[in-house]
Amino acid sequence: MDSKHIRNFSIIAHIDHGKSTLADRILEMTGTVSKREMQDQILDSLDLERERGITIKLNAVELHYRAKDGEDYIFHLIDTPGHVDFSYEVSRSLAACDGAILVVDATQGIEAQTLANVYLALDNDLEILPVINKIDLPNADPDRVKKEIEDVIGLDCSDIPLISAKTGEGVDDVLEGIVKRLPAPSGDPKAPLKALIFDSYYDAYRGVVASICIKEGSLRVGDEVEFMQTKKRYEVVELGIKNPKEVKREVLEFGEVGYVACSIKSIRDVEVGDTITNVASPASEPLAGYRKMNPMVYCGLYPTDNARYNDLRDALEKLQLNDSSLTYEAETSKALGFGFRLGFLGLLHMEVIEERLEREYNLELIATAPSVVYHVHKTDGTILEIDNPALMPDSTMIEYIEEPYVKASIMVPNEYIGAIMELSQNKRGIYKDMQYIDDNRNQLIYEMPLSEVIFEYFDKLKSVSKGYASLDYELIGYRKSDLVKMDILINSEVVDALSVIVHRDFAYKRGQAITVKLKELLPRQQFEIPIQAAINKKIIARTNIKSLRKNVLAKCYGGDITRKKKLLEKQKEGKKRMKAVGSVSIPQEAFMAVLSMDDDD
Amino acid sequence: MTKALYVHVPFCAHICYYCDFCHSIYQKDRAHRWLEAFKREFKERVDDEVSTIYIGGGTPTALDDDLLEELLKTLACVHDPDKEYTIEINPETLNAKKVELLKRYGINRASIGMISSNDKELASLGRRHSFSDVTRTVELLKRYGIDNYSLDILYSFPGETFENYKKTIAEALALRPKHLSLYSLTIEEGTLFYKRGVEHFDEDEEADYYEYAKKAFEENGLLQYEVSNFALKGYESKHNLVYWHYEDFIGLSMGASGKIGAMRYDNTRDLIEYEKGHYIKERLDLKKEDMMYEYLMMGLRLNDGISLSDFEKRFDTSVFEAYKKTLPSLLESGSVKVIDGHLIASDLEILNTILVDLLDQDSE
Repeated sequence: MDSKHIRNFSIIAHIDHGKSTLADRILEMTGTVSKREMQDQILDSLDLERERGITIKLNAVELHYRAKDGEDYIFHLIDTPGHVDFSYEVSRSLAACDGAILVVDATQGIEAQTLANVYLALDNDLEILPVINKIDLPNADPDRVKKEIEDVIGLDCSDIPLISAKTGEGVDDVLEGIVKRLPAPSGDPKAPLKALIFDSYYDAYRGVVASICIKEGSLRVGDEVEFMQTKKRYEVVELGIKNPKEVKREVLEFGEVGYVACSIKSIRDVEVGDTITNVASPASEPLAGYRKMNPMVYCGLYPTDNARYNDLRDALEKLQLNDSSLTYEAETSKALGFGFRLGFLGLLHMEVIEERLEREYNLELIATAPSVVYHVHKTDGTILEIDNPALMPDSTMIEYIEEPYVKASIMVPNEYIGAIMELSQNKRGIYKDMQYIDDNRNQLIYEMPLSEVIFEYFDKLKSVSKGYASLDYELIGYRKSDLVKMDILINSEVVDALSVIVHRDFAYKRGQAITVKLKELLPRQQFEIPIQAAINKKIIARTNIKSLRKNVLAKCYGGDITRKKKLLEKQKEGKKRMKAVGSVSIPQEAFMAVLSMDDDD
Repeated sequence: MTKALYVHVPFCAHICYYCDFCHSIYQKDRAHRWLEAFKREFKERVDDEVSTIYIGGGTPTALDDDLLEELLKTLACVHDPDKEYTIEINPETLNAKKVELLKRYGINRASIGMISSNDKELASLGRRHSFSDVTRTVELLKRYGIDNYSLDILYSFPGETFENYKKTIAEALALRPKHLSLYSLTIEEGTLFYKRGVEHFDEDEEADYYEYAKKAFEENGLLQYEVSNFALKGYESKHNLVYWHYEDFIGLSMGASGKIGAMRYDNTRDLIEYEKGHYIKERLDLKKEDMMYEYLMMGLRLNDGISLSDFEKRFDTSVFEAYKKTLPSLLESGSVKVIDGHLIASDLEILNTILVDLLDQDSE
């Protein structure tokens, strides 16, 4: 088909504004998926994605549409992950598109991720088709939202589709809008091949399957190709498109979106953002925008039962087959035994992996508090990258430490500005700017350490703003900070897995908060347990867990046996979820407590 | 082999706020139907000698005199004067006529729900009696020669003060019981306290209360022999020891449980089912590991713990062999010890930690 009849686009939205529902409706209304086959939100294929309402793995589908002008069009709908952890992946799938549908909730208006996604789309020179969704809700206010889109983003909303993705109302306007307002792919069909990789997954029979968009030239089965960033060469074994079932093709032409398989064994060899070209007549330059993805957040993961170390390793191997952004290596903790240090793109990524390990692989795990990567400049001039606080060198050997900073954009109704500012200051945020969005809302810009953002910041933001604040952030580089390692001693022994890097000015307060929190979380034992926080072996905070005095069933007669035995079994289950460190049992929550900044509750 | 008989009277004149036992509000016609069914169950299921009899509830003394007599008459055939024969008494329900009945049919031990000596506290727990009812009950029992009586005391309930508690302990001792049971409040699901979201007493305070009473009891010759039970020498409850020694017991009537050899059962709580003769609702066949664990779970509640030789005789293996995965570290930490051929928990107040550790034995 003539490339003028192709439209490659994504749907972008803030979480819960109805992106997946609109995708479903479009699939249904273009006859791609029949109503009967329709499983709600078909593009979100992982169970976890559907449960959490987020998209983690990408999908691209080909749709056929006959427009009102009588012409036939091919749409490629490219799904994007809906979370800030995956912003690079979002940017690459946007780069595969020429346009984007921007979905804004008629009851909520523009949110932080709406803007972040719009900026990503504009960075990639996409045309944007705004639509206002959820107009069927009683509190919908499309006029206000229309004005917001015009004022804040500067998009023309004169004939904006007002839709309900849920009921299908107005969705035909969206389909027409795609044809009329979004451009066809631009590029040279005769030029040397440039295919953009925007996603990949591992298939046991075909090896790595890459999702691609042909930006220039064409690709044929049997071609010898080069991946321009990794410099690796392969022969094309299989090509195809998805509708959403896979349909094999001999050739993918300019403007098409599909998949390619070249018997590649490791997902690491297929990098999102890489460009595939033809060895016979190679392109001179790869496509712009490629970046190597580096984990931002690390944590240690240990089986509560040491005997299951090998099971954990096998599970990680399997997960990594499909997740090139997950890294892990073996690590040993004095307190926790043998485990792994895992690297993640962000906290959500971390939670998803942990949950999958527990759920799909039936593992009981202890995760240490997430840590960022610190740049430690030593007195001897060398630089260490530390992603595990326990490995921080002795303070006498440290010249200074740098930590990653982010620019955080927070959208918030006026009445909560004060609370958000206070929260951000407590998280070592540096106020940068406040932008007016509309009569009610402002966007606050803070620069703050990533380490403070990854833990509890988002939850606190939501709680101090009654759920109204939204957040987006991007990495802006490393900065020098006055950081120290704080050790936690339980029963007079340092528990390495509880060590944490803190800012010196906040150390005393944090030490207090952590020891008090641990006192609440650790179960009492037959003996008294001192809990201490120390910097450079100097104790800065301490408290005691008093010894256990009463844990016995008051009544246990003949008729009580079954019930009381169950009660004991329940206590045992609780204990199994803890890690025995020396003679003390430590529950999972305790490892997270070191990042908690609560000292009030 | 000893075999105890427990009879459950599933009616109460009213329901206490903390109680989750099998009970319904006493109505004479229902009680009558129940008793008829009970007589059939008794006939069908008790053919053997029993070692002790215990009538509990519910509130056995809530039955009208004629029904109470009918019940006692039914049980008379398995009783002889040497056997321990206990009935539970709610103080407000007792009168001279009833005590006379109890005496006539051979009851020789009474367990009185005293709970507290403070009338306000009693009311706050949903009890309908006052402390004067307790003294009156004790007087009545003594007058009829039933001087083996035990008092139940409850502590660590909402609003309780240590001052009142001390008074309760003193008043209880002044009544010169042969036996005392001291229970901390457990907030069980389904009770009014549970529904109200009553919070558990502070753990340290609870321990203080317990230790205070234990000391006071022992100074008066009432020695602890089980987690919650104290007695003058020779007055330990023979019936309850059957449970803690994990011997066989027959439970009769609605809501009762029993154990016969390697089988435990729970009776139905439904009067209609019960009348149809569907007495047993659930039957549980026990594996050897279950029985060994239950033996420890019950036996370690005793100050004398479990007899090593009895364990071996019962299970054909020593407890050290059966629990080789978990016992050594418990012995090493001093949580349990061996004295005079008995395995004993060192601190009964934290027995659960030991029992939970022992559960690990059969996890693999």
